Amino acid sequence: MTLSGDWSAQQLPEFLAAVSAYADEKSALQGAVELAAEALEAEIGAIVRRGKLVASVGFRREQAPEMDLIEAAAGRKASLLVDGLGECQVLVAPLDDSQPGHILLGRYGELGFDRTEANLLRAMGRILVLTIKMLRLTAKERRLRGVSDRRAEDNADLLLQVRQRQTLLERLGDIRASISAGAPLERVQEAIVDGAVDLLGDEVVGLRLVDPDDPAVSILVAFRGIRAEMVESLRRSPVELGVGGQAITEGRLVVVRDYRCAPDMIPAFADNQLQTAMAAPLRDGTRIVGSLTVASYRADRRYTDRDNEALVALSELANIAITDARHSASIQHQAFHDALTGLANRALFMDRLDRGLARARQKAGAHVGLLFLDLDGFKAINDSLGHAGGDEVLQRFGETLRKCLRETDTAARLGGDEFAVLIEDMATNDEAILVARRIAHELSDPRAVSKDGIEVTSSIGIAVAEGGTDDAQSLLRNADLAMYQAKRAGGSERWAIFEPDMYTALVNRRDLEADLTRAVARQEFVVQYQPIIRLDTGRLSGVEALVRWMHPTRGLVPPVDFITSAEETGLIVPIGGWVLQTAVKQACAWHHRYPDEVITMSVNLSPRQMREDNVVEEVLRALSEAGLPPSLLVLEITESMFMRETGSTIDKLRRLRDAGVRLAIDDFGTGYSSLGYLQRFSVDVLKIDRSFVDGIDKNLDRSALAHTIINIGQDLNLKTVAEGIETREELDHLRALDCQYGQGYYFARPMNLNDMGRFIRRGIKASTSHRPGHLLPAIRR
Amino acid sequence: MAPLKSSQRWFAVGTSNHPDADTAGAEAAAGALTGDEPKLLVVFASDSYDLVQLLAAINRRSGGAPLIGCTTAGEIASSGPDEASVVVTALGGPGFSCATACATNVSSHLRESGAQVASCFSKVEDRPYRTLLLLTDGLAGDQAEVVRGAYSVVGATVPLVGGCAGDDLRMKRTRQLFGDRVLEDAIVAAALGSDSVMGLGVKHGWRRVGEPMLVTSSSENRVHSLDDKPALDVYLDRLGASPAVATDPAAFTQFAITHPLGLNKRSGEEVRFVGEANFTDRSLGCIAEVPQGGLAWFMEGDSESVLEATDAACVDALAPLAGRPPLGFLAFDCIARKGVLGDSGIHQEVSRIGRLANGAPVAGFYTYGEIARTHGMRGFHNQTLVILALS
Repeated sequence: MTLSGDWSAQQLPEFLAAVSAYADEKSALQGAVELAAEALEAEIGAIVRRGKLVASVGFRREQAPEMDLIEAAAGRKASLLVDGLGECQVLVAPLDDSQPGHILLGRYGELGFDRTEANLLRAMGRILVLTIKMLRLTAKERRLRGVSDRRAEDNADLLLQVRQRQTLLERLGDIRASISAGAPLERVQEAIVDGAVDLLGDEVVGLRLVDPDDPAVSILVAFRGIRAEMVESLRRSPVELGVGGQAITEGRLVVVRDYRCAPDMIPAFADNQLQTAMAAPLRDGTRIVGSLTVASYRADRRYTDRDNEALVALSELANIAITDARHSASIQHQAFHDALTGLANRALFMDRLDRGLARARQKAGAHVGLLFLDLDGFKAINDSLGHAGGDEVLQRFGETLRKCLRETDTAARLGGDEFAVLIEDMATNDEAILVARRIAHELSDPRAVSKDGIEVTSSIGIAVAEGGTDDAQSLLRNADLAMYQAKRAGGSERWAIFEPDMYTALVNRRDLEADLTRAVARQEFVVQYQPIIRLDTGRLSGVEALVRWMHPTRGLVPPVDFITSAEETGLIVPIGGWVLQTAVKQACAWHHRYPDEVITMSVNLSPRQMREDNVVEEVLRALSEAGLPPSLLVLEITESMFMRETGSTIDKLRRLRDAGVRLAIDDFGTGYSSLGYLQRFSVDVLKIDRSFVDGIDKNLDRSALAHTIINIGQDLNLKTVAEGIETREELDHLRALDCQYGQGYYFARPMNLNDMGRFIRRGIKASTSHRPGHLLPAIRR
Repeated sequence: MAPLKSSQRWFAVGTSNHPDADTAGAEAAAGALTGDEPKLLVVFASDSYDLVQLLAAINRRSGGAPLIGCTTAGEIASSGPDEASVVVTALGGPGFSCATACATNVSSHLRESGAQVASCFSKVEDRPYRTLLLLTDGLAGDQAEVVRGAYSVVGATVPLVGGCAGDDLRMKRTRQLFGDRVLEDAIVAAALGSDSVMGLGVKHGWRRVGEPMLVTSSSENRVHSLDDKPALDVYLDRLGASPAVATDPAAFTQFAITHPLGLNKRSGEEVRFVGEANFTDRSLGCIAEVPQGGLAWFMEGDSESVLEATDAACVDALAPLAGRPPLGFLAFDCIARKGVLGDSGIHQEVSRIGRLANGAPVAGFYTYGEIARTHGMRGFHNQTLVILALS
């Protein structure tokens, strides 16, 4: 989010608050020039009034180059050469006061000030002028009070003047304080029209602002003393209408003594016998953006200098409020919206969700729906399209979301590729499902979110608070859980509604994760071994190392119950590393004990391990530490991992192959059967998934699939290992299909180290006594 | 450490961590006073010493050369960072000129006091390169006012540099040293003139965390609300602080050291150190003003970003020297950066500064606020490293 361009927005209220705090004119001038120089990061500054230097900063005491500064303030120098500093670029803004003057800043270096900075200094100048006016009023008021204290009793008029002055100051002070405190513009506008009624005593006051979307029209934003039937016709009117319109078009204070004869009168007011009117223009920077008008029905009403002064002072305050409000609105928008998509950000979304739930609690039968969305495989999209391409997908996805929603719904980007939608005031849960379906449908057009036509899907979790019973955080968590469920389930329409058991599952998963973390620390894992048998000879060919968790209370936990969690938490990395080291060491021990036998050791390598930068080094180190020839290690990798191949995966696999390590594809046939990668990666072994082996002798389809895999293996010169052989019939069938190797309960269950040792010894004994085949049934458990 | 001498100027640093003030002062002064004509001594000392005794020992050794100094939240020298130690820097030779000043009871009139000490500038012999060194009391209100006061006297042509004294993070009372006097609520300053160029580097190394917030209510140094929510709650929630941080003032300060506030300014963010929290009214107290109506970010850093800033500050300080070897470095390093780096990190940092100083001696301390004004008018920083390179 880039906001550095908006640094200037916050400077004005800050400046207003600081300058207003000065007690006298001299210190206000000095303070103002210093504050302006600080805000604009200028080294020098000066204020020149009536051709005299009245304040300066950045020069050694009493050493300011007065003549040069006066020349520059008068616009006769664009830069100043400052002794000991060098050439400074100059920026000047007028101080439109009864005494003509300028505020000037100088910044060292070749780069001058930009437009934003020029506007900022101009606005600061206006604030300064207003502050000085108010300080003068205060001083006058003090003087008068001093006199009045002595003569009040015999001078009622003087007393009245004092009171009026006091009211003016108090009013202006209140309005200024509300601007400094960041009150909403509407409230400040109301305070200004109230102030006009109080200070000028007129019956009619109107504050009009030019419509930002249609400069030909002005809008009556705040008023007093206008009858209801007239308000409607005046609410939106041509910008030049009336005395206020004249102030806008001419950009000056307009005073009309005889309203009925004025060329710019509004007939309805004239008909009602309005007598006099006065209007001042309102500005945002240099642009005129509205007017403040006062008018009276009293025939004896005449506007004095004091009245003019009060209206101008009020309009100056309105200017500051308008400028500040427009800046704030832009800051506010940026502070609560995601810069990339323009959607609400997390802060705004949570706020709306809070409020939506509060409203639902007060309205019977109102449900609040929350959709939690994330883009499937966004990381891969980002990798392939680059960050700019990824950003575009996010932007387009944001637009798609907007298209699928009602005006009253809120879509937000929570961060990364996570989005959320708030649907308020639902009668039934079906409305949330409809929105989810609409989004999924929009996304089914590949051009919806990617100009390259890349297919992008989103998983959507739905949570509904019936009657606003849930709090915002838990509703968001529930939708997140449902999204997780939808993603796991996959399929074309990836959405799921939150069910309480998802939460239970989450709690269980968290418990499991905590347990697993402890297990890693306490080394509660054991390795079991399962033999891999050559099917034609019945001889032992290798061993697969399998991890088991020796849980202190639950006993031996099978991998299916913890590998997914270990993978998700990353704990698989230390666990897998330990299994690898243990297995490699053991393989080496057997290799030394039976040097004439070739017993390979197969070890599973998880996708998470594969993503580790140093995985190749880890494997090679385990081999060299143990002293095992790399060709005796078979790393088993799932088929899906090949499908998600990335540049670095390919590189790692190549390096492992180059080092002599052999590679096997686990569960072959369960993924997408793209065969290209078999050749690309020069794998050594295909493992036929147990789902094809189970009942292969009775199921023609499975048999045909297994046969295909075996043929592929033969064609590509790869070994094929059938997993999960449980019966004699399955074994015979696989032999008939020419499958070379197998493993499964028919031969042996996974067993501990001692049993595996005995198994190997017996196998070798049997083979040396030339009784192949006899071994197998004998050791079957 | 042996002084590095140019023909006209020398700069040397002596240290001691002897627990006895008299011995420590004598040892450190002996290490620093290795050249003729000492013009200025700068002392950074742990608050744990008997400071009167410490100064007496140093002054005996120096023969009463002008001295300014302050207590610290940790001392820095070429030999490494230390605690409960004293670091004395001496510089001298005909190529340097110096004048010192102090102001007391400053908290009630910071700006005037800044101006008062800066007036020593008129007393320093004129030299082509000049700087004003300021050591202040960071616990005595908005130190930006001190900088403004000094700036009003010396103007844009003189760089300002220095730091706020520390008290080993007790945040109760810091002391300033002037000649043989131990002061509180004071500013001490030295106007330094040199025949050779000086360079100033300023870097912080923090980065923004999360979305910006509006400062919806603040008064001077206190932030009451952010995005219309109590500032403390937003702070704890957005930064995921632990429960202890939310209830224990000491734990809060420890946490806040590494999680400052960033304000939106023309040339980037200005960092504000969050000093404490009011657990009752849920507001945050910062070391300098946080204006209402502006945008703010929470910030964080890690060893890497903080050390990168170290290198960058040194490189910036060396740039004006245009290849000329530095005579020595003065370092003003925020205590918060120490918090991020940890014990081993600060050793690494100081050795990096030493390496970039190309073997020239380094002296400095861990501060409660840093002063460095080179361009614009602002010169008070939080959570920053300031390096002054002399040549």
